[in-house]
Amino acid sequence: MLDQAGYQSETQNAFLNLQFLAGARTEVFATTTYNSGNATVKDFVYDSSNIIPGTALPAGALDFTLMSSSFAPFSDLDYRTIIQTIGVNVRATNNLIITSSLSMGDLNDVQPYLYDTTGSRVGFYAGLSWIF
Amino acid sequence: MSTRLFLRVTLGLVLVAALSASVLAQAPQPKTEGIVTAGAVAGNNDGSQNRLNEYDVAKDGTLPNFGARIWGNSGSFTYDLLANHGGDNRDQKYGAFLSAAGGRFKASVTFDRFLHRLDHDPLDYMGAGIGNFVVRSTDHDPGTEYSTTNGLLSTDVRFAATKNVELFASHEMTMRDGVHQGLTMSHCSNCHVESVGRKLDQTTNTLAAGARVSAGRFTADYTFENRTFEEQAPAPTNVYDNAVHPVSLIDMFLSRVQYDDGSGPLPFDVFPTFTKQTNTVRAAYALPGDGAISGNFTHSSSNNDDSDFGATFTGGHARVTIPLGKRAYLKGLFRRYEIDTESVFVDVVEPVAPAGPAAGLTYAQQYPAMLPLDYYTESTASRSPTEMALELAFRPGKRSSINLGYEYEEVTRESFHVEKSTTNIFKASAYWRPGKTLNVRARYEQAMTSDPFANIHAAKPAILQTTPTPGGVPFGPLSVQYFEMYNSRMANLSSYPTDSLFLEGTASWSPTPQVTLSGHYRYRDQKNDELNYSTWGHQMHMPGVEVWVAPSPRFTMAAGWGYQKDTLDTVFSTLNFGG
Repeated sequence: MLDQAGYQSETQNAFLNLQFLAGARTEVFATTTYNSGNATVKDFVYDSSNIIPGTALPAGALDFTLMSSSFAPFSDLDYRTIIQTIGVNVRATNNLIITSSLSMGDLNDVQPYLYDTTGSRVGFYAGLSWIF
Repeated sequence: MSTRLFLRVTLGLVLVAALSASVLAQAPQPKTEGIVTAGAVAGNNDGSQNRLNEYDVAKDGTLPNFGARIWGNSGSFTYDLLANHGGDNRDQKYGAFLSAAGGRFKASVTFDRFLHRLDHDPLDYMGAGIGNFVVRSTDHDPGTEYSTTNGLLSTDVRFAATKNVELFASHEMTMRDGVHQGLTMSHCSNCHVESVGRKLDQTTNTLAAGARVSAGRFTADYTFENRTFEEQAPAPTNVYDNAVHPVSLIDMFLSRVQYDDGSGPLPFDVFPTFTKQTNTVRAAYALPGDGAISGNFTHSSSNNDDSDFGATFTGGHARVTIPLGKRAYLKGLFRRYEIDTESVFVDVVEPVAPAGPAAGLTYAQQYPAMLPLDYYTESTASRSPTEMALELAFRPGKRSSINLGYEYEEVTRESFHVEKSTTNIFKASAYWRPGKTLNVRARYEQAMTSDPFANIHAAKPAILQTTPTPGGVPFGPLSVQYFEMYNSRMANLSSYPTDSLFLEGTASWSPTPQVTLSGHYRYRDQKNDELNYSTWGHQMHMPGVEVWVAPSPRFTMAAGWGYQKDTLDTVFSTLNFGG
């Protein structure tokens, strides 16, 4: 059996970066990134002309209607990811910088393929930098 | 493994430090600047991190974090040293960049180590069956999270021996260790997929050395490169299922397979040892004006040392640039190379069927029409491409430019049905800046290919067009066999286009110094309508916009959006054969 079929994929990326100098020694920043991606098999239809002549049966007694409706979604993909970071840098002295940031990431595996990769993470960073 | 890595890095850094120390001794009053950072990351994870943090340690808990960068410049000696440790030995980065003797001696060593999380297919979606015949799976290592640790050590040294001669050498070592999912499958009696945790301990070493000479308008260099790949962890083994009939369980399928449980444990998921040597010669001559002529010649040979077969690459190119007045130039390119892979002899194992209609016979003795069984296999990589290109560029005004180009490509192959593919490519691009605030670019490319590479007679067996298994069960003396079914395929398949169109437009507008808006759109349309039973096509749309705004010196904002849609139109082919 041989017929035409399609495969379609879409990806979208968006970002927003903000930087604000809150004072002479303080910088506040925020970064947002969003990514989505999906893919699917399209127009996957077993050709009804593949009927055994004289029998009116599909080749091999296969259920063409069931196969056409169920095979294509097996490989569907649909991921949506958003990552948000906010932070502040403070130059406490000419040599000392205090850095702190909070990051949140979330990935939604809407159409798991093989296994579900949905996951999220919240991370907090705090550090000191000495410039010499 | 970790100790070995640290030793190599430490030795590398010590070597560079020793080389630089003698030079440093001559440098007066070194000045040092730098930054040292210490901190900690506290994280909380939920669910899988395999996609969200595929290349990050991202520990569920707290990790310390250290970093330092020190740089200095003293007379003719400069240095730049950096180190980062993420609190986990799978998250490290180090570097040393040195320059001495007024730039005559340059050296660098870098090391980067990072985590790569890998998939573990649970195989839990199998189990479909008809009678005794099933598609089943066994995961011998269920639930394990697989990952590799990847290290890249790079060393580069350059020394200008004289005003006209420079010597250079470099070494790159890529290390990958960890565990990934190894998969194998028993055929015939059952489709039985088995999964194991496969240990990896792989090293790729690339050592290169050469020299560059220059004399007036002429420069030339020669580089020799030796690359090796070695897997030090043993390959897993599997005892495959007994090749019995899936329904009757009679031991009659052995003559139809190459191995089963009687063959004992057999290796799978094998990474062969690999070596490659490359010689490259390059030369360039600067013509009077802005003209130039250059060329190169490369010969490489690669070998699979386990199976002792390999490939060679021989080729080169020549490029010339001819100025046509002050506002135009003409570029020409000729490139030709040949990839030649060794033929591999496939000596088919011919087991004797213990039972059934062919008891005491090999498959070929039962069906002599299949002879000869043994054959030489060729690689699709074997080919000889020839490329020629001409490009005319001119500037109609101070704020505009136009490029027009034509390329011809011919690919010949000795071992495949498509012996020659030819492509004609027409290119045009333009840049225009009508004012100080706006600039616009546009690009067009159209390619037309005759006889693109294709798999001839790849699908749609003629013998199956009227009934799925002619002659009923496949064991009778007149029943259709797999080889007869495959030999009757009619449809040619290809994923290479006969026609390809690419368009691109970009624009950037800066109405004030505080605002910039830009956008782009890329479009690609490819199709192959020379196939005998199907068509192949691919379309891509790729728009995007970016904005940058700084309403005050204290506040900036940048935002962007990009989208890509790919649509593929191709053929699917499903075999329905009870063989």
